[in-house]
Amino acid sequence: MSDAIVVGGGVDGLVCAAALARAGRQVTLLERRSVLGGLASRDEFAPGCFAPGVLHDTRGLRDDVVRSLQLGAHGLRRRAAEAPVVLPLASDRALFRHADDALMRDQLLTHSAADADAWTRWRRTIARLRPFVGSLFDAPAPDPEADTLPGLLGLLKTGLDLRRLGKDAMLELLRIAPMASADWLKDTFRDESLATLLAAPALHGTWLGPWAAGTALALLVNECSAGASVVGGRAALADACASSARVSGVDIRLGHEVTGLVVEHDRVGGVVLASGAELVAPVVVLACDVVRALRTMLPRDVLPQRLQKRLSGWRARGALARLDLVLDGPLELPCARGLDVERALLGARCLDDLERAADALKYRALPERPWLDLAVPSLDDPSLAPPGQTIVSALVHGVAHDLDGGWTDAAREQLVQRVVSVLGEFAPSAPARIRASRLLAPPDLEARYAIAGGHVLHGEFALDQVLPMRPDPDLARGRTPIEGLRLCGRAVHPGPFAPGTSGLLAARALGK
Amino acid sequence: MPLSTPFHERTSAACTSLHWKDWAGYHAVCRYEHSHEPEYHAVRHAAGLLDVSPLFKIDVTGRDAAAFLAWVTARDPGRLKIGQVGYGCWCDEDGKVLDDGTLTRWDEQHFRITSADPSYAWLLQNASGFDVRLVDRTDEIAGLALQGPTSRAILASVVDGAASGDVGSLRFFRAMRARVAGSPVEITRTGYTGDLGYELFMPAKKALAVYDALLEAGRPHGLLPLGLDALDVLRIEAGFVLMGVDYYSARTCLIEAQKSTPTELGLGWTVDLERAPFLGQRALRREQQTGAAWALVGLALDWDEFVALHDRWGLPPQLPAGASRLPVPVFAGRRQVGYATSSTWSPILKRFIALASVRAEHAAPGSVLRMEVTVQFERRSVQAVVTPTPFFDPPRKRARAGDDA
Amino acid sequence: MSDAVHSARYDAIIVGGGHNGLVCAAYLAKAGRKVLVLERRHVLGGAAVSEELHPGFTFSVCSYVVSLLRPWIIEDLELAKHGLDLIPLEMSFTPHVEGPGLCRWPEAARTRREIAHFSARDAEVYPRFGQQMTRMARFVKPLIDAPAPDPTSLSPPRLLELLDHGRRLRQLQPDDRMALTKLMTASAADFLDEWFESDALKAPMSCSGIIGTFLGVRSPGTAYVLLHHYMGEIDGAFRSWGFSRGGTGRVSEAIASAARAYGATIRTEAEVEQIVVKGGLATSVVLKGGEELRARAIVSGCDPHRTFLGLVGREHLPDEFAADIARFKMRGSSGKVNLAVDRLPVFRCRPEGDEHLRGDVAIAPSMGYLERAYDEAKYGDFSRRPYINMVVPSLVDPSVAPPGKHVISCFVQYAPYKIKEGPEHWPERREAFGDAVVDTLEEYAPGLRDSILYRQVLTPWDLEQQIGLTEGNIFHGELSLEQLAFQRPAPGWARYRTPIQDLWMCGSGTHPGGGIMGASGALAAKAMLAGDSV
Repeated sequence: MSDAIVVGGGVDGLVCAAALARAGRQVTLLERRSVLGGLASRDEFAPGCFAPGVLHDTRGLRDDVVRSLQLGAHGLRRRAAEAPVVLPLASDRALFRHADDALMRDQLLTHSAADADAWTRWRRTIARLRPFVGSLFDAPAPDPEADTLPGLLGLLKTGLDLRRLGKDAMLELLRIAPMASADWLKDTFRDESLATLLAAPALHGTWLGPWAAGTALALLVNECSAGASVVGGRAALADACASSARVSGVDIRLGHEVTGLVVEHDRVGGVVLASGAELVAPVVVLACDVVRALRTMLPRDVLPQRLQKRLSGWRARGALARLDLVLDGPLELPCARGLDVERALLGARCLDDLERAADALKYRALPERPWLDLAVPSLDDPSLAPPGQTIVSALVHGVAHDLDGGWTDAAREQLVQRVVSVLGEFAPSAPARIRASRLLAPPDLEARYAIAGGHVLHGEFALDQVLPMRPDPDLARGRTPIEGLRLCGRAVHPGPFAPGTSGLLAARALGK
Repeated sequence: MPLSTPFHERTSAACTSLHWKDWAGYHAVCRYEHSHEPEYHAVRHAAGLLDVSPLFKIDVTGRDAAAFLAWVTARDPGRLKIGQVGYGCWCDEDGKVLDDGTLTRWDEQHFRITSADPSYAWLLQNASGFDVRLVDRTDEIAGLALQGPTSRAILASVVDGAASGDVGSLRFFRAMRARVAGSPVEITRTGYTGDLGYELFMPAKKALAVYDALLEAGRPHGLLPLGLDALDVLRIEAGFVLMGVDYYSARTCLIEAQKSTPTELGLGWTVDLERAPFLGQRALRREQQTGAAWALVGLALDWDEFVALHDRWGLPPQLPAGASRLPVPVFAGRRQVGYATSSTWSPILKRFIALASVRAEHAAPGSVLRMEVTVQFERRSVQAVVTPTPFFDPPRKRARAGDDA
Repeated sequence: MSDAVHSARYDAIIVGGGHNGLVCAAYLAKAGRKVLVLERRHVLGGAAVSEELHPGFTFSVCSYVVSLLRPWIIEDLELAKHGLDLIPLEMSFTPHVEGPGLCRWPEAARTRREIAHFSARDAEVYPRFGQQMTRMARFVKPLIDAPAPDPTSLSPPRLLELLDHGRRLRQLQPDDRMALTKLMTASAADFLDEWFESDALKAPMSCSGIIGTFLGVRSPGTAYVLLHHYMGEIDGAFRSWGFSRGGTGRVSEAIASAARAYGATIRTEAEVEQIVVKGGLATSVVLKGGEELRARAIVSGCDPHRTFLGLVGREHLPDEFAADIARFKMRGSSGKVNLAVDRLPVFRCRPEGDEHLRGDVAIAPSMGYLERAYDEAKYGDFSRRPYINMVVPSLVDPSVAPPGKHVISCFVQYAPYKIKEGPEHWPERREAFGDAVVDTLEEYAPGLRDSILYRQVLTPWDLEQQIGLTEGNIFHGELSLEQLAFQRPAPGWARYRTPIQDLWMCGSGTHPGGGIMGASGALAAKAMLAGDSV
């Protein structure tokens, strides 16, 4: 019998299992699929062609996770320099989002001089808020229900940290958080393409356009949590975590789908597998889509009705699709000639383009002109594709899970065509080079990764679904009303913004 | 503006008092003539006919019907035989009563819930995961309560053919189907008067024909149309609590103190605690260990003392006509220990009685308390002895045909 | 004007005779201060005015219903004695082109029946929704009856205030606390989706979340405004709306009458062109025509943009404050169409009687309809099929129209101030906008077009030009989260003071803001009196 069972072999599950094992526990990790990594798993979508996880970005990875699991020793490398994100302006011109502020400023001096100073000021604001916002993402959520002394002290500390920011920064934070990102950026910058370039990355995982209130917080969190990327993307991160887990002695079992939890007298006793077998353990950590799991894996009388009702209000409406392409030859963007483009934002020239994609969600229609968050992972990790070929992965925004009329073959075909046409607009040589493609529409993501609504963050990022409200105040910090049952993963703070951190925090909480 | 029930054409013609009230959005007669007393006496000595169409009626069908109802109600419906009716309540997860009502099992997989408050959305909300179908049939089904010692004879004389013998043998809290005046009728031997009686449910379209047949057949048996004023007196004598008067649905309470558990309402006997999980079970188990804080009890008031209080002013004893729903404090010594929510003069018992919620330690039968009364604008109190309910419980209520005198 | 006025030095000059300015004046005068109110127009009331635009027809030109006027202000200023008479408006009708329409009546059981046409489930849940909103309104109400709490202040009294609010928050039941969090952050659509399934019910309910904002029912932050509209108090009961007998101008007149009775002087057609600032001190105001009037304190009831960027001038303001005011979002989103008609409109879905027209009529058949209306505005056009909130005040208040004839007041959303062509092009599009409104109504009530005797169309541009509301924003600034409480109108300047000494604010652009509430005016006066600043 193991001391603890971790359900779900994604990054959070691996980190949690590894951390528990390193603390001396006998840990069994159960993964439904035949590969580890969950959303970060490396998928062979065409012969010899791989996609390194569903999401591109790895910049949220916190040092705490890297250190605690000694991920460096398990092959994790972080990039020395970030690839710029390219936003085409004209056939021969583009705006770049450089991670380096000086480069960015230089670029703006020629692009939109007034915005160069604005950029410096904006980055200064981010820098001032960064320690506080960052600290929120290194720690469990402030506990609103705290009735214990440590809980109250934690609340007090958050309050004090907030005050330590200074009055101006605090006012700034309170002002920005509920805003629309478009408002914040337009208040700050004159150039709309710059605002578009900045706003777009923060929209993934919301169900909103940039004109919706609350998107500024997503942007702020994105900016404040950005560190160095992982070489090889999410899949490489998952590999390192898996290696650390194995070396630490975690008993990893693939192809083990958990369908139920054994609960007696408000104590967890183990899990029930799809095969009908039961595995016994005094501690179970759910590291999958936990809201879905709590709603499907427990007898109906275990969780308080009020909590169940609130969980039924949890919003996880998938809003993006992923299209992976294999090109015979490189991806050439004439607007950034001479550059090996690794990341690009296509199909969004202005904020309204982003907004229109979100409109499509509301009406459950395919976006007329989807915008693409594009990555070329084979540049960073050539092993993903056969020599001479290129992997191009697009996160396609404005794609509703509950498409009106359903996800028919015709609808899929139409979406792929629209994506390819947007791609062709900026990379004219690309469409003819497509050798293979694979679309993962929200229902595909749902089925493949067992995530409700096909939502890649296990629940929308919205003001009422962050911090202790992620996923519910009664489940804040990953605790549950059931003794021995703990939650981590993307639906638990800090969730999607800091891969692995919620797993690490769950392990630490169990260590106490 | 409330709606009319399917019987409105008849009831409105007969209601010469023009006293109506709004019952769940329907026009309902308070009393047909200027006093409710003839109607009261009809039920206790002959029979009365009450329009109960505003009751909510929900059909629960499907493979999991019994399992679903076992989850949502505090009484175990699995123990109901086909053709049996159960009275019970349903609670929220804190064990606080949402509503009370009856559950009729028509079939292995078909139940009918009747209740005072709409519960459709609540049932639906709790139905996920069960293979059940819920249909709110409130509007399409009309209801009549035929109550009183001669009700059996009346009913037996109107049902078609062979069923009349079945009416005679229909036991307390049992259900049967029959035809009356060409209409299918569902008959349950239940009621809200504490007397021998039946409730009849029929398609709204056929309602008037059934009504006419009953009134016609009832005439030689002393049947009168019955209004809500008389019903109020009858149900207090029978010790039945009324939602919105003696207790409040946890659903409508703004604060915790307004909510009650089944035990606190004297409905503890309807709760089957030791069985598969149901809503409120955990809380009710806890309550079983710690004991309920409140109890709903009957009070018998000291009439002589009441008369004496009036004597001091040279007044004859005065009670409002019919039942009073004015809540008044109940004391033990000088300390308030509860409140009486319904009170009435019982014409059949010749006693002044009340239903009250009191703190559990004062709930034992025989406890001597005092209830506030107002005499000539002065607040006074009279002795109130805790008395078991029902105050009035004639054997005919449960007896089989032929048993009763 | 008599010489006495010219030579007099006032304790306070109130710029703008809107309802908040008048409330402020009345409170100051009641406390014995010498007060002068200056109003640009010939009528008092600002956006709360009644005017006889067509012979025999009196219109509440802009704001048309009264809900949030604080009861304590009515009592303090004895407004009933001065002619205030509010008539409760307790039902709401949502017509459909096809289908039965939906009426929500004061009688719960009747409303339940109406809703049950669409969903039996929703019918049952509806009263519970009202209960929860009432509990939350109870929590929020003390916040709007007091100056905004300031979480950034370290002064002990402010910290105590915060602690007190925190304590009350913790006393809420967990479900209510969660619901409150959602209310403060979620969209009206998301919030209502958790309660109801029927579009026909959700749509009219969600409308109160968008009134006066440039947001759609699916925009986060609109749920809060739902609550705002559950806080109306008339006759001591929560959540009721009302007409003011004689139009909303009567509210302003009653307050003005009270102010005069307490000794305040009120001048109309006295347009303030400048608030004079010398050495960081507001000293006087200059009227159009050059007349200069001095006072110990200057109080502006105008919106923050007009006050600071117009009347004061950016050069007198600290940079940061000026920037905050400049980015304070005004963004008018609504217009008004006032009609005089020779008969009552007859709605397709309820052709009989007029009972259903005695409340408000909301053209809001579905959530999709509302969201589409918003989407058109988002990209710079007025809604072809807008959300319309229509009332027929002459049905309950015959004094405003000749016998048998009626006035119809239509609040129309969305009409963005910044249309694609530029706001100054609104005059060319005004009638097209009016036509869109009449065309929309005609679909629901055929024949309405032919009954029109007179039509007034007010676009956001007109509201700005005529009433002085910057960008035509009826609330003096959007009621979005980052513009509420201690951030209204600028972070740290929510307690009616300004960075300029002796210059105060008392308009809707300050906490708690919005609606014919009067709280801003009263709280500003109280703040001035407490600080002995006037």
